[in-house]
Amino acid sequence: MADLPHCRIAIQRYNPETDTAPHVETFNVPFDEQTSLLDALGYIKDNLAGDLSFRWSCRMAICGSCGMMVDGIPKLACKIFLRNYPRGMRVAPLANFPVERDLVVDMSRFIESLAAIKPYIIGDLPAAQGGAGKQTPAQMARYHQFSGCINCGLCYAACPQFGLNPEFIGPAAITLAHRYNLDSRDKGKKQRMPQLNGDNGVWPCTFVGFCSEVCPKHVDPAAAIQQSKVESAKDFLITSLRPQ
Amino acid sequence: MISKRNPWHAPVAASWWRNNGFYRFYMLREGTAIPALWFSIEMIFGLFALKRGAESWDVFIGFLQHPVVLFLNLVALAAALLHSKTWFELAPKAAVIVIKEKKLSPRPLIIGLWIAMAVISMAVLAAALLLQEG
Repeated sequence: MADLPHCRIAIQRYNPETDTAPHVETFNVPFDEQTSLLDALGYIKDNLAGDLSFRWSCRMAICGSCGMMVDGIPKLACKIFLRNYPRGMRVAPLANFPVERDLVVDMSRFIESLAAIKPYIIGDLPAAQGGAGKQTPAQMARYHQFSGCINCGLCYAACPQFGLNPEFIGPAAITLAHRYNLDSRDKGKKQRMPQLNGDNGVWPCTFVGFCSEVCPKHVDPAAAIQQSKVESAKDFLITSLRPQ
Repeated sequence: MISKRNPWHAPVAASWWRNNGFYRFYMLREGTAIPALWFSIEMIFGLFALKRGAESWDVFIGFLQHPVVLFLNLVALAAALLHSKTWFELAPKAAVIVIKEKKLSPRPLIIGLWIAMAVISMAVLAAALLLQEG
């Protein structure tokens, strides 16, 4: 291990019990071809700073726990490798969320938005009792890309509108609302539209598009939001034309 | 229960877009609205010049031939082209089109938008030239 090259990792640290603001601490971590940032954080915790806090679980980009900023760009720590950062890296907690400790953020706002848009099939119960809902490949193609979200929050860290207005329900929540609105088995659109039509629904989005750029699952939340804007506009027109 | 929580909120500075190439290009893309505003005002000015008669129109033509105005109009053209390019690339995201059980890729739509722009521009130019001849 002594002959392995080392990578300089500068980590933003914050201890809520003693600090008033975060500070940066730098660690030298040995690495080989396979060392991910998550492995490196584990090495630091085991050998250099036992009190370093960070979230992780699956190590294979499916649980969505290890989101953090690397050189100012939202990344999954398990999905990036030290070999690609020969000049070292700056690691910070996910942007736009309150920092609880070191690399751990409070994602409750995102989780609340997610629950608010009812991300599940709202269908008719008798049909469900009759067996599995059938769907053609064409019907599934409409929403399939939008169903790949792992709730990692990288899109929220990439969204300047969410940074400026934490009440904005944000990319992932809107994408999931749209995913269910597009599903042929779902009948819950009426219940979701008020959330999307509201002041903090789809309209604060100015189509920066960085959310789609950073998404580790290529879900393309920016596309889902633009499509939701079309739906929201149609919903507004229909509601205003329909006799009360 | 006593909580030790004391979350730290990072401030958002007005310069939030400066440290990231993606955000800088976004600001440039949105900034193309300013040359478009300049060109719209110039067009309105030209319409009023046309209404006021030949003398006024000649003054407007002279104004258009000034090197600074020419330069600003070239900037406006470049900005309009950049805006069209970015817009055409983003526009296909606003629709889900499923053909033969597969989602349509953005490429044919982007090419279609460029062709539509070229055809409309040519038609307008041809109409203007025909009117001039007649």
